[in-house]
Amino acid sequence: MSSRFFARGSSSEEDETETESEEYSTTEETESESETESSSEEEEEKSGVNRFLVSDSDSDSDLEDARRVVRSAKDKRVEELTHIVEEIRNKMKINDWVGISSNFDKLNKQLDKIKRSGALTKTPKIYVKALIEMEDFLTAALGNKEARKTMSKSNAKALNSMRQNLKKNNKEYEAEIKSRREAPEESDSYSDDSESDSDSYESGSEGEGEEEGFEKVKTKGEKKKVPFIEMDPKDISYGMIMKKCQELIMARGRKGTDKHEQAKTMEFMVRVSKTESQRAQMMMNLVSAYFDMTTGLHTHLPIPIWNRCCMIILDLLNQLEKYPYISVDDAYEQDYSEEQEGPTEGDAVTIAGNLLGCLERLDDEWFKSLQVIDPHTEDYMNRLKDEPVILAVAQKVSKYFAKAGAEPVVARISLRQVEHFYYKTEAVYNAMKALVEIKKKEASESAPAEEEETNPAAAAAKATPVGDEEDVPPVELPSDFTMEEDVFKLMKDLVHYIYKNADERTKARAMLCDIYHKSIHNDFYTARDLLLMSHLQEAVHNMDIATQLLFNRTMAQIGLCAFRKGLIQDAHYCLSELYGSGRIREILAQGVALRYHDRTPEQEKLEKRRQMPFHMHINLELLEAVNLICAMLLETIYLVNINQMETKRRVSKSFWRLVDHYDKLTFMGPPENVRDHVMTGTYALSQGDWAKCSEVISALTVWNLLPQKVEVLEMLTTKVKEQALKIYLTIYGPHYSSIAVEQLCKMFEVGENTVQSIVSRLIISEDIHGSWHQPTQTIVMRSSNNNTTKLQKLALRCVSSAQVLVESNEKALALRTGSLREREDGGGKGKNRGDWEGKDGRQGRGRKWAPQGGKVLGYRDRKGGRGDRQGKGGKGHHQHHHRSHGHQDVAYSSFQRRKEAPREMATLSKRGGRN
Amino acid sequence: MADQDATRWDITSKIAGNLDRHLVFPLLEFLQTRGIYPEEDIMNSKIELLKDTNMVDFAMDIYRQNNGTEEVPVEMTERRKVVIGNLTQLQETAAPIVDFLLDENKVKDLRNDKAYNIKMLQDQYNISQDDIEVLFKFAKFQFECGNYSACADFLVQYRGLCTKLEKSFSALWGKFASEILLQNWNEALEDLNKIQEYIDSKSFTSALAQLQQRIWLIHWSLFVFFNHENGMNFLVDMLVQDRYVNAIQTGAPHMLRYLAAAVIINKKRRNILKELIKLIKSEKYIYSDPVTEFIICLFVDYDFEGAQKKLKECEAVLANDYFLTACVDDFVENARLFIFETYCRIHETIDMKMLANKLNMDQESAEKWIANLIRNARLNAKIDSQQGTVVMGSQHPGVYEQIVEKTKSLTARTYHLANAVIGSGKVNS
Repeated sequence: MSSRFFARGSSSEEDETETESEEYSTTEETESESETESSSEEEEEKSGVNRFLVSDSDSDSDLEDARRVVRSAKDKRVEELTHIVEEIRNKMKINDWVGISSNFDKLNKQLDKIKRSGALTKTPKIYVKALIEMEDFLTAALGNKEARKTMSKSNAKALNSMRQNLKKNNKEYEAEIKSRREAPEESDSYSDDSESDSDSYESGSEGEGEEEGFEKVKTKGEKKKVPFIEMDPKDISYGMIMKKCQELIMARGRKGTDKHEQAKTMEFMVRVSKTESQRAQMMMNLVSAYFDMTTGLHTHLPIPIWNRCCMIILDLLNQLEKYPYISVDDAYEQDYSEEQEGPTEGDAVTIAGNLLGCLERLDDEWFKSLQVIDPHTEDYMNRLKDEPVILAVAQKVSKYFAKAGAEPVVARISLRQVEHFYYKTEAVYNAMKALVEIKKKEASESAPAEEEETNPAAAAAKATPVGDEEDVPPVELPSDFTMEEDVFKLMKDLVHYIYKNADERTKARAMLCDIYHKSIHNDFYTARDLLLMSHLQEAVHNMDIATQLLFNRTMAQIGLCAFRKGLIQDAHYCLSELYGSGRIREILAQGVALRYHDRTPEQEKLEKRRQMPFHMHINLELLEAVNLICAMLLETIYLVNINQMETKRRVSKSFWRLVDHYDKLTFMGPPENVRDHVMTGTYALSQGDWAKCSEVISALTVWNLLPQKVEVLEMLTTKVKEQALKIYLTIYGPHYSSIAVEQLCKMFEVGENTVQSIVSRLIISEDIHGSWHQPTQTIVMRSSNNNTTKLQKLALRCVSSAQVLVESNEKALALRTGSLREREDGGGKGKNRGDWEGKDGRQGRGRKWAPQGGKVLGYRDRKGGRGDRQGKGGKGHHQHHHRSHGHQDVAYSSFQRRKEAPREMATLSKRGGRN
Repeated sequence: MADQDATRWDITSKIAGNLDRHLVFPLLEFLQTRGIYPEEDIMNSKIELLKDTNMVDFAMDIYRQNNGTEEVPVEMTERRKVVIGNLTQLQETAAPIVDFLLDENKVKDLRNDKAYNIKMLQDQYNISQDDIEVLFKFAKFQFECGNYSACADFLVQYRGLCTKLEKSFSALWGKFASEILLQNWNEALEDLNKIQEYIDSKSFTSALAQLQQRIWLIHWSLFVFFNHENGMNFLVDMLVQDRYVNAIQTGAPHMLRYLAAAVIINKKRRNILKELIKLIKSEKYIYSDPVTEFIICLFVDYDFEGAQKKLKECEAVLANDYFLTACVDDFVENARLFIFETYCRIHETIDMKMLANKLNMDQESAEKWIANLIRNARLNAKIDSQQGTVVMGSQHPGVYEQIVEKTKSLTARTYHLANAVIGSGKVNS
């Protein structure tokens, strides 16, 4: 009771805003009345409600109907009347005669309206009461001379005119006023009491005013007929059902409407409906009644109701299939007038309703429930098993619309279907297929039992009423639901259909799903090409958040896919961008990060709604491991090679942060989590100790998540060996005068060819100073430091200092003038660069890991900064190579560019020197 | 089987899809001479090719030759009748404008002003816009009949009179094709540049259409590039442009073969090697053939033996390629040089015997070859004939050189700085 009381209390605030448009239902009045009336006796209260409900539903008699329509219209007007009266009372309290007189005019106008509509036989009590009050107040005001003197001019004027008006007006209602004054009802005293609290007063008095008339209706109804729901189906006509149905629809969404009761009545109506089309219509309405049972935006539909709803939709679809002359249209206005006779069987009939909406709602509710249910419980599993049902519904709806030729709608449904499939690997899909088979078998076994009830309505009737929600059987799969043999073909068909028929957003989403699906099936190149050629990377910033999240998830999957394929650079590119944001959980929609200050509770709620259910999660540990390992393989070399450090940018911020962090630790314990493992591996690698590195990395448990664990680990070991070899030669190379290939092969357990290829690359890129001695198969190292004299060393240092000096001069000037550097570049060496960059932006065709791309959820854009830094790094030492780098910028990814450019510059300059 | 090997790398079918019917014909002729496909297949495809052109007589000839009979199918004779009918009809309708154009004196009246010309034609010779459009049709018909020179002439005139940009563009394509078939490489090159300009400058309704045009252009231009004396340079210059790189990546990865070959053959365009390598690497999964693999072996894996093997395969592939068949020797020579150069860069001492082996020469000629290279100052090395090795000179720049290199630019930069500070013109150094 108390909760209900509060509910009323809070909602009464809305009253004032809503009253204008909303009609008051009888139930509500009852409630408001009972609320003010009794506060202790719950029992009585309940019975009161029930009584009213019964009367409400049984009022559906021929005679009553006509009046009831009027009543509801009248209600509205009376409501307004009450409102104005209330206003007048308020004005009286503050002695505002101007307000009173204007409101008085309004009051009269309203009364006229009511009278004109012919709905009123006698003057409303509330009006009379208001007149009396005003009269009293007026005489009091006139009597109080002191107060009149202090009144403002306009106020006094209004008072005078009011006096005349009221006098004139009251003459008309003299009799009523008199009778009322003589026999003041209880309500008066009551209203006096509560005058201080205008809100409750209003509702109280109003409830009372209405009650009388309503009581009458009720008693009449009780005498004449049984409640609608208990009526004999034979007595119900087509029109009656329509009538009743409309009533329910009108009551929908209003405060105090008992949704369960509504659904129950609807269920009954489905059972008693007269024609097939009417049954379909009733089912449609029933579905929306079920959907109404959600309590809020953030909670999901209770599962039993969901099941029931699903069942009805399936029945409805069967109905539509069986009787093809029935068509559904969401813009159609159903004629609910009572007099009509049902259309003859077989005629084309349209019913109002939105099948697509139903499907989407069903799907959304399912999704929402998964967000909420604890993923480690049986419930979650059971819920997941409902997925085929949705798919079955989707399939049927899609079939229906395909027949109607509504391509965009079918495309939308296809997207829904795609969104159910894209994250499923082949194995999962097959498992689901098996489940469907089992379910179908079960369904066919239980079918004979129901056979006698061929009527779908009877089946619906058999379902337990909404009241007890405990044991609702899970929905049975329709027997004609089929799943495509091959998930790839299925995806292909759906996606291609969408590409052909859908709008941009649907297409983009379908594309992302397609890419995602391809990546989890190791089809990296196709996935990448799709992504790059569709230019989603550039466009994704302008899309809605859900799509951006999907984009991020897709990027993560492509990264994982590239990693499994051994494409470390690509993997790193995809993942580092995601990890660069530092909010990996959020941008993958797999958990809400701790509170940020800049978020309101609404935003937080919204974010919660976007979360992915557990079964769609991408394992974050695996993702982190892959990201860090990629970074390790690519960047450990810069950890040891100080020369390169200067010119290089640290690409993977997360990796370097970690390195810095672990550097500060005094002791390093045995590795526990992913980061520990990778860092231990990194230290081993930086010593050239591949065995330890690979051992530590392989010890990670996350690899068990990969189906191709063995291959991946093998690939990793090979990569680690190669890197270790490189690092070893870079660090220890200068200490050798010559190394035999054989020895290296033994040390790193790699083939001769690999050693040769790696060493050759190092020699070409001048990372080690040495060359092959072919006849003996050894590398002859030539240490540059030993031969230089002290003077030479000093000279070198002097030169580099001079260079620094010039450079800082240039920088200083650039700061003053703005863009000396650019202009100079533009004039001479670097002109191409600017041009190309421009084209890069505009053209944007073809494949690139677009450097602009990947930023998500509106985090800052780095592009400008990156270009700048590039320019500076390149220019300082090797001006004359600028042009070629400009070229390179365009055609290849920013990442590769970063990786390769400096080394290449070194080579070029050396070669240049030689020539 | 050798045949299978040869056909495996044959990309004629891929190229043919992007060519005009008439342009495919030379390719087929070439394949016929190489004999890697069954004769019959080629004949059939020739007939298939000619079926929709107006060269009915030619088709008949081939049919007779192929089947060894004098009889020809009925549809061919039917087609012949239709073609001739069309021809006479077109000739009639096009008569006014053709007559006008054939009369040199009248043509002199034309000026370099389209509007004037059209008006003049209308006023003096009663030749309307429609007649001019007929000229285009007539030219097309001539082209279909294999009368390329007439077609080219008409199209030139047509372009002079045509006001519609679209039409003029297709006329340009027609002219380009005619010039190729007439083997007028200089004119063809001109047309090529015009088309290229047009494609790049005009904003097409859809990016896809533009891309398609580019892909066509790349394919058609192969005829020009591999026949024009300076073609290789043009080829490389055109294809390394960003937009054409994209076109290759999206629509015609097999073009990488030609690009790669052109870069290897053409010494002047070595600077784009780095770019090419990256391109090939990134497209490896879509397209690879011995030519691209050769580049990967040599410049990515430094696998010299692999490169050697690939080079041999390349020889065969190139010989069977219509466009590249002329430059097999060039390619092999330059590729060998590439291998050697790279090899030298990372080696200090090389055994001559092994080298000779690798270069596919006997030791003596290898020694001669190397000596020549050294003499031409292309190689900083010495031959140690006693041990039979080549010893590379030090490539490492000395400290002195390093300092010179580093300080070289300082003066210029300081000068620029000073200029910027004081204002140009005041500093004279």
